[in-house]
Amino acid sequence: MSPRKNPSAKYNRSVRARGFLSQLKKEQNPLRMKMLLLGYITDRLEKKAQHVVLVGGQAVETYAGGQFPTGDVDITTTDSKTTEEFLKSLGFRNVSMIWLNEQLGVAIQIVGDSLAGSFEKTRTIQTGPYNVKVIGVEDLIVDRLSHAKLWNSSGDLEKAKVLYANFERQIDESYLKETAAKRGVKDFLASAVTNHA
Amino acid sequence: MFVRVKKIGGNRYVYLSEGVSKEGRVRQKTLCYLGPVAKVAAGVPDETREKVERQIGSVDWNKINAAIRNIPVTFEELQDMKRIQLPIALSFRKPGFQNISRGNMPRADGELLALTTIAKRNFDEMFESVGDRKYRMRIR
Repeated sequence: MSPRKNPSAKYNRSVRARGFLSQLKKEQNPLRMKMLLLGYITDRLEKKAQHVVLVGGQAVETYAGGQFPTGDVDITTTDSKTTEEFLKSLGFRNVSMIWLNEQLGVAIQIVGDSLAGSFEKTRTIQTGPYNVKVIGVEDLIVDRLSHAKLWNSSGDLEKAKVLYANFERQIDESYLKETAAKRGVKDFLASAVTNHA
Repeated sequence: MFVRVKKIGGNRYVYLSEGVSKEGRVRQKTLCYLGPVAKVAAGVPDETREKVERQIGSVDWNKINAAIRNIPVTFEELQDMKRIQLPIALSFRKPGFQNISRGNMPRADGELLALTTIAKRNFDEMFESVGDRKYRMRIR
């Protein structure tokens, strides 16, 4: 009997865009597919001392284990020009502010060149041979609280509550409070912390 | 106050009713209309609640929603529910939208707690902690 092959071994860090794309199309799990894609872009950019961070709704979905499904994948990149070149090489086309790959069913939006938060607080997710940087839970909670306050959106407040409840023991409380105060959502943070699920 | 379902022309509609004693007999008196079963099956929408409260005063919506959830829905009503939810799903990213994950349907008691529990379990199933702020995706 032949030994069981590790499916993630098929991804090679030196694989070219075309080969990577054909492997990616075979992925069954959409979250893993998105993570591999971001990991590939991150890997290429890190070679140029640049980085990509997953932010927004997809970060919430990741931290919430697939709850709160989102539409597009929001990222920040320190080198948007190179990132866009990589996206083009992977079959993405520019539709207004979105980079869309219809074959993969993935839409990516580059939301900025700087992370609205601390790079030190980001978390790393290893997927296959790649690493994906995800915005820190603390910054993501404050981000959702800002949305909740600005748009009067109860859904965003719920997300903040779920994230806080899930990562309560790992959260840097002092950083969270400080950031919430800076963004003017200290009152909303108090509500999320005291009334979390 | 209780929930009453009336069938009119093949469709079922939900009403709020109460028992009124008249000449030694208890009759059902309709207080207000809530909507078709398909529209309220997942919970009475906020705008309907406001309209009803303007008509008859405060209502225990947790109790009413719990009663509505006990109404078995037909296949046709289930199809209608999907149709009703579609515009909400399509507009879920509009800025200012009240609640992007479930439209304006109210949360049931304990729903957020259940969601949190599932989210934590799913995260642990999907990702294995391999260091400080580092995880490995388990799905292969």
